[in-house]
Amino acid sequence: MSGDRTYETVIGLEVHAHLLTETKIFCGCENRFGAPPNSLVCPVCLGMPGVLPVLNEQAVELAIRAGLAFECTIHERSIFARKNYFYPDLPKGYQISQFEEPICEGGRVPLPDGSEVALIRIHLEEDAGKSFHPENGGDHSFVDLNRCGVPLIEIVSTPTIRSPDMAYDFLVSLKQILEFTGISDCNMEEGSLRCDANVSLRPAGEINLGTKTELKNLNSFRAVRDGLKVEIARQEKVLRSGGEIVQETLLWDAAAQKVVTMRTKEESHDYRYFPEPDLPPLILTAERLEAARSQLPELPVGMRIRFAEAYGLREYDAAVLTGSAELARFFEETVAHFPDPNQAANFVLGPFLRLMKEKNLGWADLPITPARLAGLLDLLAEGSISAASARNVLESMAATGRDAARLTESLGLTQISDDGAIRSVVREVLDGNAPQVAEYLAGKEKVFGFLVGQVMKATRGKGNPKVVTPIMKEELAGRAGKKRG
Amino acid sequence: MLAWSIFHGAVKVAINSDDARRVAALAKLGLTDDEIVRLTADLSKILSSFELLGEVDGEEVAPRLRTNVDHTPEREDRPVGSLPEGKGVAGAPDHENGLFRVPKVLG
Repeated sequence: MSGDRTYETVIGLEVHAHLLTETKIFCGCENRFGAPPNSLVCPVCLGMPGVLPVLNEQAVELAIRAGLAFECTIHERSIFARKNYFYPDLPKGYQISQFEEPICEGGRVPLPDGSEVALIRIHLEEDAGKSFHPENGGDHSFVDLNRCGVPLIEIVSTPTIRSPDMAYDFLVSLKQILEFTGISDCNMEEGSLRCDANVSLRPAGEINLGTKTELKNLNSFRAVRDGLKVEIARQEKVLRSGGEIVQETLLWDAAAQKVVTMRTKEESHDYRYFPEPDLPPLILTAERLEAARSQLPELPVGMRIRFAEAYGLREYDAAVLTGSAELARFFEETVAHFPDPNQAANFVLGPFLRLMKEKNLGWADLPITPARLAGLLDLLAEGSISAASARNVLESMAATGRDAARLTESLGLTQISDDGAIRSVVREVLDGNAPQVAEYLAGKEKVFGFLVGQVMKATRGKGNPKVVTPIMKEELAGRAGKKRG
Repeated sequence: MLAWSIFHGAVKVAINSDDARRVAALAKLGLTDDEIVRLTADLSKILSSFELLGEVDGEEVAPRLRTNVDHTPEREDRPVGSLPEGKGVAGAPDHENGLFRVPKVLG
């Protein structure tokens, strides 16, 4: 019987995002990735006896900002709790988190299709350290506690995500908002954004949730999508054959494209949460919330609408340009120097992004500044260089950081727009290609392109097509007249 | 949630050897049967001391974890430095290349 059923997928996501603070959440150690192991540690984050945590105000500010950005209810009073478990990367034996009374509840993440996913909560907590299990480590693992105490928000979605693709869209939108608001850099390679997924199936129309499994080790959005697809297929197969889903935690093995059991419910954690005695309640004043509200940076959805309206961009272009905070900022600074937003958008979304991808360029040390790009767009707009040359100049700019005018000159790419010079080349080309000219004059208009191509060849690509085309037409018309005469 | 219940002072606590084994397993402690017997008795004694709190009439009193501070103080987000490099691991029983070296753990 179960073989004929259709199943509905139910997915809930838990996302951990590192907060962009200078220091850790409960001590003055730097919050920085990539330092030598155990060099950013102190008695507080090492969990030495007798120390007391003191809350970082900026971590609170960023949690409030998250609450505003995702339209949560932000509680004036929230409390911290100890989540107890024993693992070498957690020296205190407990993680300070929020359990009952988190800072934010409710809220939503907008999806590209206009729908949204409701959130259950957002709470503040500290990260644990990092363990390494090298293959040649024998009977040992290794622990770096630099990450211990790095501030996090955990964002918990409602189990209302219905497909792996929807989970993917949720994460893309969430990341975009976190980046735009400066809450997190969301660098997945550095572990700044991590995601666990709970997934279950239930017969279509059923209200009660089926037994869920938890999927961990999802290191990229693609891993989330792929892992969920594989796990959903596995669960469906079990259910169709009349079996039962075992509640367990699974690890996604991206290389093998399969899930591996990590622990079953019997072995699952009992965290024995209780209120953190070392931290009194966090109380937020109305003034503080109001100040945070007034300083909330522009959100992606609003910016997309503004780009389309203020710059007259196509909706698709506005969406792509506001796809990342850096790209949006780059574009806005470019059009501050260059008057045609559509032309700027075309170039930024075309040759510019292509080059970034091809050369694997990052925003941080990009030699192409918005002002330099605007300079290049000026040359292109006034016809001083061809579109093909502009791409060459762009590439040199990425390599050298020099400005467009100087590069155009030193590369010898300045376009020939001088009427006289072009006309003499056109005449030479027509003289040298008499058979093709005859064909054109006999009505074979396709030959026109060939003749223009010969002019470009003769000028080594520097003839301005806007000048070449009318002159070519004039000259051909003249020859037609002669022929008739 | 055992501990949380104690804070609310409402639940009479009894612990048996299975509870003690479960707590030991969560704490990743390998205990012998003799130790379990002893610890069950000790834990029961400790917890029953807390039960005394249940005798206080707290009906009208809101749960409160401390008496002197109403809200948590916050500090400025400014680095104040960490231990000198190497000092963090110096007191550990075992370390290598700046990393703590621990018995193999997975999961």
